[in-house]
Amino acid sequence: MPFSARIVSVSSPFTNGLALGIALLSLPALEAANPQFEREILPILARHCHGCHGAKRPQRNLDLRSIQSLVDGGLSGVIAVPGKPEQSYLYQMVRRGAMPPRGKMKLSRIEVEKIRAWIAAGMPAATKYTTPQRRDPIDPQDREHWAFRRLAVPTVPTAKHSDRITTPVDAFVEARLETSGLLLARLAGRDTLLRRISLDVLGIPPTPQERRHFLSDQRPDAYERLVDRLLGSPLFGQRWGRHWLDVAGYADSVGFDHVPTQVIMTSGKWRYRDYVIDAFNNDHPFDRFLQEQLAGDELVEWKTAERYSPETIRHLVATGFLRTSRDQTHESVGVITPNYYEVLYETMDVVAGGLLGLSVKCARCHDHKFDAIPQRDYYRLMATLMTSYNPTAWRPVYPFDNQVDDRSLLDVSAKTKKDIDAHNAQLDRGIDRHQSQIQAHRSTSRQRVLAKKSAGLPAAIRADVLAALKQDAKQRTEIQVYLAGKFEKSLAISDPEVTGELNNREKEAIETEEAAIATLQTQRQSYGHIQALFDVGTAPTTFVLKRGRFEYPGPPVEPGVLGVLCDTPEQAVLPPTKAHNGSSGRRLALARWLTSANTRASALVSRVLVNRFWQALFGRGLVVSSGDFGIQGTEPTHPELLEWLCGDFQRHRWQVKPLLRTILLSHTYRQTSRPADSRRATRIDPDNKLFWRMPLRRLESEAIRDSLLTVGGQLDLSLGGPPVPQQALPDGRIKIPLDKLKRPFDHRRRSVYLVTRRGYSLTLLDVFDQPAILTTCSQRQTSAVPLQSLTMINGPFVYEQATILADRVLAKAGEDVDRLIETLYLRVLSREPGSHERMLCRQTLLADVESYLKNGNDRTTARRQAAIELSHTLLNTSEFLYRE
Amino acid sequence: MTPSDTTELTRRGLLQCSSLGFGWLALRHLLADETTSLHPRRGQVPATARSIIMLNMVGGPSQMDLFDPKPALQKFHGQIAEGTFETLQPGSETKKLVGTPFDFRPRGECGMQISSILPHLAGIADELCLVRSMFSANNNHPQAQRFFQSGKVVPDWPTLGAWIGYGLGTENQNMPSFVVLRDPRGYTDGGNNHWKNGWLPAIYGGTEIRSEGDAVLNLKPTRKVPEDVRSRNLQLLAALNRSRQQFYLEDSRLESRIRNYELAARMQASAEQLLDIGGETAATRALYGLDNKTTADFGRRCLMARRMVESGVRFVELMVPVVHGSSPFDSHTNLEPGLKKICPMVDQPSAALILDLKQRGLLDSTIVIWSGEFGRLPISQSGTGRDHNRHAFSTLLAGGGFRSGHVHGGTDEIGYRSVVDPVSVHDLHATLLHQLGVDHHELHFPHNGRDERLTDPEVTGARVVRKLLA
Repeated sequence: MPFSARIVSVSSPFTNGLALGIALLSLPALEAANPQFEREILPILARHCHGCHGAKRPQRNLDLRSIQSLVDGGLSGVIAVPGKPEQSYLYQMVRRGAMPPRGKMKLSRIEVEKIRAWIAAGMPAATKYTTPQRRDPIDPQDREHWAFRRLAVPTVPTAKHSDRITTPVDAFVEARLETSGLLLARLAGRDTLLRRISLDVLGIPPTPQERRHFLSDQRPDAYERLVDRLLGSPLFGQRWGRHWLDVAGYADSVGFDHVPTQVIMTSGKWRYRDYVIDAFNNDHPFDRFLQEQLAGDELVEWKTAERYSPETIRHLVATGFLRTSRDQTHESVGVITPNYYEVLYETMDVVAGGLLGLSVKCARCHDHKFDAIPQRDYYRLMATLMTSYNPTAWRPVYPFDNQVDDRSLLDVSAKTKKDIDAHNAQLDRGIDRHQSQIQAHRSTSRQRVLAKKSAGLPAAIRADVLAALKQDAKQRTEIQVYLAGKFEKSLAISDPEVTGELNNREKEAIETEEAAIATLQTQRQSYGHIQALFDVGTAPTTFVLKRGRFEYPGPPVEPGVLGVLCDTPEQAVLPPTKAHNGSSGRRLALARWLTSANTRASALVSRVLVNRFWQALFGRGLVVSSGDFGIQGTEPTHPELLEWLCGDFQRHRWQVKPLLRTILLSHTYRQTSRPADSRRATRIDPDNKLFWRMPLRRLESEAIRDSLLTVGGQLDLSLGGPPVPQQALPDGRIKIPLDKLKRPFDHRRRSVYLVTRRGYSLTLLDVFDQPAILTTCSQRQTSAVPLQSLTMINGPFVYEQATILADRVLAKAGEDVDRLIETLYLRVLSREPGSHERMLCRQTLLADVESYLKNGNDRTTARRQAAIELSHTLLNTSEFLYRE
Repeated sequence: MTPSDTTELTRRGLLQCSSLGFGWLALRHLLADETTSLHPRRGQVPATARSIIMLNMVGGPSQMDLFDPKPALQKFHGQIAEGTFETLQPGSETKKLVGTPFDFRPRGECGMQISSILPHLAGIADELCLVRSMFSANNNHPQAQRFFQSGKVVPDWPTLGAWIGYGLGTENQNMPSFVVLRDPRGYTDGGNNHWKNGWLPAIYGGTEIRSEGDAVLNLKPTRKVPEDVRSRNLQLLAALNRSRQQFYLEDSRLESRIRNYELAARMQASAEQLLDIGGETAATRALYGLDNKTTADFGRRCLMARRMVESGVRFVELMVPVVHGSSPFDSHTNLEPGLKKICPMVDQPSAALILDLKQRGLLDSTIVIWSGEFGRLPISQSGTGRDHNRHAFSTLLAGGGFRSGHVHGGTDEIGYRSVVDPVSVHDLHATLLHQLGVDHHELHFPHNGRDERLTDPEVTGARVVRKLLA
């Protein structure tokens, strides 16, 4: 496009005065095909800029007096990118009027346009100049941080004491232990192992039947079979999905969720939770899993799709991963723009913290102090999200205003919606027809009732009374008003009277009609909502924001990724990527960058993931700081093992179950938590960093509640669906409102299905360290506060479970005290009691029975109460709260 | 770091990256033993005070009607103001200036001016340090309240009380370090976000002690059990736990869980003792207004606060009465009648608390804070009220080494903006920590890869306001 034409087309709406300028301008421009620095640009710069950027000591080291010094840039870096005005700081600054600064004369729109056109034309100049190599703020050394390197899968070492090495995992662990004069511990007993693996893999203890089954399995591969059975259980996804929901920072509620008694929820948000659980149960390859969560909407065609397949819906639901931040943009008070950016910032924390294990939020305001994450890279990454979280075309998360399109999608295509609406309208018409048939029958019956009732009226006025009642109340004559007033009450007919008067034929006819309606109702179709993420509006320019504040935009950036995870600076800018639905493809490009084979990024993603899985089994990652793989984080205790596991993970197409299987089958996982020489080992390695024993681990809040429900056989194991409501009471407790449940057993569902709120969890969960959900949570904390003891010993829920448990056990054990104690131990602690324990429990139980008898209870009540107390005591043991 | 399962595991790494400052000391302490994590410890600057009582006046008390007289506002009452005002709700478009319906006159020897609607607080003006130049970051209640409590407008960050417990522990090992006394009739706007531990260990979160009914959640059994059965089962529990613990002698967690049951029992006794105000004299009851319906609730809670501080609780937070709505100071439409309802409920008890602490020699070591989250506008909203104003509000401080009879800073001539010696919420936090002997630069906790601090001084520029100190 010739230069002059561009000027004219842009300037055409301008006033006459300006048009003159254009005419003058376009003349020389016509002579030269391209705008030229010395002729067109330098005069503008001289007029407006040289005062500061041309003096002896140019401001910010930026000298605009020659083409070479302009190209070289200043302290703020390169200011003009040939051919890319939108990414050129020079153009952005003059266009926004940010330069020249306040008080100085701004450039005219024509001058601004000239600069744009000059940059777009590739910055032609009469003087020869060289484009300097772009200064990369990342030192090559930065890329050599252990976590940022490509995977280098090591060979499996050989250790001396090979009898305890059953898998490569053990070889790595044992080799490391041997260098410190330690060894792997012996295998844990089968009881302990069964309880451990059930709690770790499923989140609940084994039933006595499962225990019997496992203990009686004498085949050499009994344990392997157990591992496979547990990994195949749908309960696996419920537990491991929850681990991922921590990473995503998932909450069912919308916004800040700060009022205890008020929770806002959007329709269908929970489908993301089910998507995650299903993905774990189906062992969906994790690279694919991540791609769907970041860019599911760009991977399938949905905008123009005739029908949504289950796959389409799944892909859209998956993007719920990016919908977890505390989006308060439905709140139409105060300044709303900061809220937009808060959503972007928090989503950045989830993406970078959750997937890369890096804390990037420092780089929001300034270059990261410790990690090689320049502020530029933060905003490059943010640019990948800004086409969908678009501050210039925002869609609020919650439909607070009918005039505003919110972020939800229907789970059917537009075409299907039309079909369903039409189908339902037809049903309604059919139902109306049947209804009017019913009404016809009833009205005949009604006439008969009326005839009967009016039979008692004097014949002389009967017709007049009936006519008066029939007449519209407002149009009655004076006499009719009188008659109606007098007889209306006695002649009133109630629905039951009409029903009573129906004859058999009519009744049958009505039943037939009603049955027809019921049949039609079953054919009604419906659609729901998906809380998805997708591109909206026109892609905005992303700027580096000074001090992280949107009011102070700095240089513009292109969508990109963290340079420290790329081999060259060029790779850090994402290439335009083709995506479905006319979407920008930015998130898809990001997802591919994170998961493509043999890159620094995918290596880091694997390390972060594999480390989390290890942490979920051992209570501690190989990298202890599982949320920080940067310079400030801890180095892996077993770097080679981590690399090997990552290689194994990628070899298994990023599937989680084979990885877990590898770990679960290792001697390292199966070793006892109480080796004989723990005293010596503690002296050498007090933190058990080298895994000379299985760490003792307190159950997470959900596992405690689910286990309490399991021992009495109460836990409802069903999968999926809308969350079970919670209710905040005025006294501060939070409970499940039994009168508001969709299904009668909902209060016994697994904890993952309760409404997840930001800061208000069911009291029992809260007391046991259910985390407040801010953004991503990489590690659960466990505390020991007296409130936990109070809740266990005095709380109604634990007592209720103890009662149910005691009744079940009594029904089985009858009068047999030993059997009672044994059954309780099997159910609560998944083992038989030792002889000393047996004796202690027996003594207590019998003494308690005597106490209750003395207090005037009959024998049955006394035995039951004593059994409840014993059950309650066992539920209170630390052994129940910990897995060994 | 937490007194927790994960603690021992990451001890090394943490010690490596923590500087040899206060955080390190606190950390080392925590790591020693789960149960001792609330043990009292010292900061690194000399401490003047040892506890704080915060009287949280949620809703945005109107500074120009309570603490900040503006003669110009009275003079130009009814006239249209110039300039722009940041508002939250509609109704203030006319920009009509409104003076206060209440009288101000100099009080005490210091001559501090306080509104006639707060006669009791005005009566102890010589004990007060009044900051007239506070300002906040957000103009809406929840955000501004969180900001006042935690220095952040977003929810679920640790609040002041939690930070102080983490930094200093508490002297009374039978009670939590951070106690919350809210109106038993309900929550204020913002719920329990006021006393969250955020990502600090749960032990530092505020514990609600109720002024009615059961003092602590699940403090008493929900069922009737004969005493001998109960104690026999507790003995059995201890025996079973003890025998299991033999396998994990190097692991302190099981030991502490055993001790927690003992602590729980002690807590039951202490909490009940603290709640039992039967032993207080008639004069004390009268001082707090316990026999007057208007002042009884807040008075009772103020008295409990004194008893807690007396017994060594580190941080007590009282929430405003909610009988007139969950933000009773939120005078959008009913400025005069609203203040006439809520002020008498809190005025006498607040003043009584300060006097009582003084009489008992506790005021020097106790800081009392009386404050809302922001102030109100000098212009009328809908003719009857004032909209929110984050640019100026007043905070009362007393005791704990703060200058008594002192007025700090000031607002512009109509009270819209703090202009003389402005004090930010972060400055206030830094100053409070300083009085407790804690350097706000040094109190930090690792979270998601960053050493987080309450005041975040590099970002917020928080500083100790020496002018407030005696």
